[in-house]
Amino acid sequence: MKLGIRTRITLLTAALGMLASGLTGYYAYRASQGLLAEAAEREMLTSARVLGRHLTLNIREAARDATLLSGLPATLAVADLREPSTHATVAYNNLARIFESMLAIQPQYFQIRLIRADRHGLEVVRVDRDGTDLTRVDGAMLQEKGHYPYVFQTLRLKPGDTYLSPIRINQEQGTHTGHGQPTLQVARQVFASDGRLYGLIIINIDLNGLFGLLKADLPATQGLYLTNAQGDFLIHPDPEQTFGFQRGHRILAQDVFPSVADIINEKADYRLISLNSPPVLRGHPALPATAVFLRQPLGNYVSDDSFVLIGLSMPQREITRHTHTLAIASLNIVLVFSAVAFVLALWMSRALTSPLQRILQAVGRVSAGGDPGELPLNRKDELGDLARGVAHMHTQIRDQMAALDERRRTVDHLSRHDTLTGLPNRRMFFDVLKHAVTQAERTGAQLAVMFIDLDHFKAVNDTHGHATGDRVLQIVAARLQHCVRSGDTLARLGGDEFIILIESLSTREPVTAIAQKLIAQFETPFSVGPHEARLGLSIGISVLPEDGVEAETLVARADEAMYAAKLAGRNGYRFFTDPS
Amino acid sequence: MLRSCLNHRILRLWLVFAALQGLSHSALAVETLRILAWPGYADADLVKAFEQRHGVRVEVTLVGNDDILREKMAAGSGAHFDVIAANTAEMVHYIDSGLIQPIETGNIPNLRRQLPRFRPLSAIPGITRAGSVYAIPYTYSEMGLIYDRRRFKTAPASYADLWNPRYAGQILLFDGGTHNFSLAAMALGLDPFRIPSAEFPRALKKLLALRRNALVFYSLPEEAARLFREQSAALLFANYGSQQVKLLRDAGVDIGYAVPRTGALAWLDCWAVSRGARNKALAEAWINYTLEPGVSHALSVRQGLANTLETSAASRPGDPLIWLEPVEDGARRTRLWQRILSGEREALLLQ
Repeated sequence: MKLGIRTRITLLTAALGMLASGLTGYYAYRASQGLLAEAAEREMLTSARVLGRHLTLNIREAARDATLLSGLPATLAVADLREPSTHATVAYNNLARIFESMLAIQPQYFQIRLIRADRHGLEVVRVDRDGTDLTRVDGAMLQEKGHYPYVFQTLRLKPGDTYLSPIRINQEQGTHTGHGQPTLQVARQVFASDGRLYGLIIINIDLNGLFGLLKADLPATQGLYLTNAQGDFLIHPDPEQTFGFQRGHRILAQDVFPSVADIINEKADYRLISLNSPPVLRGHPALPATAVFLRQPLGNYVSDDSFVLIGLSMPQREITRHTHTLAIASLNIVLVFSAVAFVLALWMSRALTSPLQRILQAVGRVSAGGDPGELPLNRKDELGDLARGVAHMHTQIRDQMAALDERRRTVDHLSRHDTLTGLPNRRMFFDVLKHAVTQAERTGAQLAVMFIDLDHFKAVNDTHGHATGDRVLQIVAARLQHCVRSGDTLARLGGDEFIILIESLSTREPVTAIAQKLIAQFETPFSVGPHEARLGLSIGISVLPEDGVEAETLVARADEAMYAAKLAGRNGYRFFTDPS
Repeated sequence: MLRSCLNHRILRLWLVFAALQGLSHSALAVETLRILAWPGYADADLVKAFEQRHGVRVEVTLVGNDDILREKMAAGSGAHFDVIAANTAEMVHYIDSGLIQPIETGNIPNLRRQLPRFRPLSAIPGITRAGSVYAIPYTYSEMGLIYDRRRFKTAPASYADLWNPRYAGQILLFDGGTHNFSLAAMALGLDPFRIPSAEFPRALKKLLALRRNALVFYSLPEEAARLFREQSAALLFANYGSQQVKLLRDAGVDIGYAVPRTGALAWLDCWAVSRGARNKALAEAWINYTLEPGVSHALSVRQGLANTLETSAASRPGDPLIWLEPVEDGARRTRLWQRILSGEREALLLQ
């Protein structure tokens, strides 16, 4: 297939435009995709930091509450009791009411207790959260807790220190709402007025309650993780994966997310983790995910775990969801710009090629002999130059053609006329005569050929010179011309011989009249400058059809009749066939 | 020329096809032995040697606790595995539920290499029934007492030392109802695995006393080791046996390890052949292979577990080991234990 220049320019520029917009769109998309992913990761990191900060603040608050409770007069009243005492019940009840008030305003607390240092860590005052209610546990229900680390470790604290327990599932029986729940404990020593270590105040914090509220603010697709300082999962999207160490097998974050080990070993504060094929866990989508883990120090407490790890994960699909929108937007932009590029390409090729086509058509018209028509002559560019070139070329060609025509016409005229007198020459006369003969044959009209020879012309030439002779011949021609009718043809055959064709005759009268008029014309002498010459003329006349029906014959007969006239005494006329 | 080229191609294609066929055929033809065992019982290099010797493929599935092992055996009624490893108490369960089948001891000549303690097999409770042998002992560990050498002039001779008020608040015990009831029963002179209902109040009181004497109850060996060091404990009931001894010695703690002369609880893991075994002879060949000196020795070296061929450093041949047996009511023991651990006092507990 032959592609026109317009099509080719259109396709090429459109392709270039589309390529440019496509590439721009693609690279813009890639760059933005990276930025979006980074933004998502930053967002997760920030969320994790907020969660961590919240945890720390809650622990600090609980520690302050424990400190407050441990120094309250009501607590001292219990610690100062001398057993057996009748005031005991009142003192216990007072403290229990304070515990209840505290639990009422701190929904994240499961339990507040006062525990004795002696009697195997017997609980003295204890209030548990029980669903929406608070339950006072007392009497025989109070338990001995001396064998729990939170008791013996708190009792061994230096005065003024606060104990923070590891996060564990609370498996202690009879703890109401707190039973079976992930729990964090904060404890402070309690001293009697005499400085004797009486026991401890301990607050159980509801870990899930703490995180539940925060989790509600996280996108549903984000997975929340919490591990202790060793990496054991405490919170995990799949609850089965948590607190494995309390069921005899540890489930460690560093086994699932290897670079978490760097945080545990204190090589890094946080790690962004890309999991292309995360382990298939229940409740944990086995999709490529991005996770962030960071270390969250818990504060200045006596604890086996000085920090926890907080992790958030997000399916990469969620991150790329935004990039999908971006991709579609980019694609739309690319499509629109491609369309624009196509239209522009079409317009441009048109703008470029239509003047060319006009010029081409003009050249076509010029070569067909016509006028070039409208040309973009006013353009200031190469096309304008081209148009002007074509126009100039056309003008030149036209002028040359005109000159040639003129020449041809001159040559033609010259070939058919006598140069001296301007009268038709022999050749032309015969053409006209032949034409008239044919015409006369068809119409049946008569015609006459009048052969004229000047008398004594040789003497004029000899006497006055050729220049005068030529001038005389011109005057002769003029006088002869004056005598013929407009339809008749006067020609010079050469030298001093002239010939006249007289057409459309029905009688010989006009012929005779013309002959007599001619002779009369010559009675006036010819003046050329100082010279004067008298000339006569002998006229021989042949008539069609009597004297012949062919041009040559008619001329020959007229010539003969002219000789006869000359012989008869010059300055007269004679018919070849005497009419009489 | 073209023709021969084409022929070559066809030939090549055919060869590839044939090779693939051969491969899949051989994969089908190679016998597979499916082992369900604990970490360390079927290490890759030992498995490879077995595969090469028998021209078979071995598939090892590892389990971490008895419950998961039960689950895996229950699914498919044992047809998913050929050989399993479990302790003597669990074997009773598998025999009862018909998930394992009798073993042809003639196919296990290495039995003669085993220590006298393991002969005859009928003397070990739980692994024989009606004259048939259902399980072959492979590895064991006594639950001895780890003690601080500075505080004991002589090694503790009995679990009774766990109640010794001299060490009150310095004893680490295991957080497990079944074993703790057994300890209490032994201290009371009762059968550790069958406590009569009438004796439960005594056992409970004994456990209350145990609790009050204890510093803490641990779950994991690492936890126990850390607490022993940090809390300067005097005595530790080593539920995990020599593994815990190794942990503490590696940490540089000056400890001694005693297997009570008056009788020590001990778990004994055995191999058994699943009822759904595809090739019983191959399963028996595996059991025989693990009783080769090299393989059994590797287990001891790598895992710190006693094998059945060599005298272990911890337990002397004469030490009375009491192999674990199913208890009268495990659920009841666990339930009661949770209450004791939570700190309930006698009045409530004995109601």
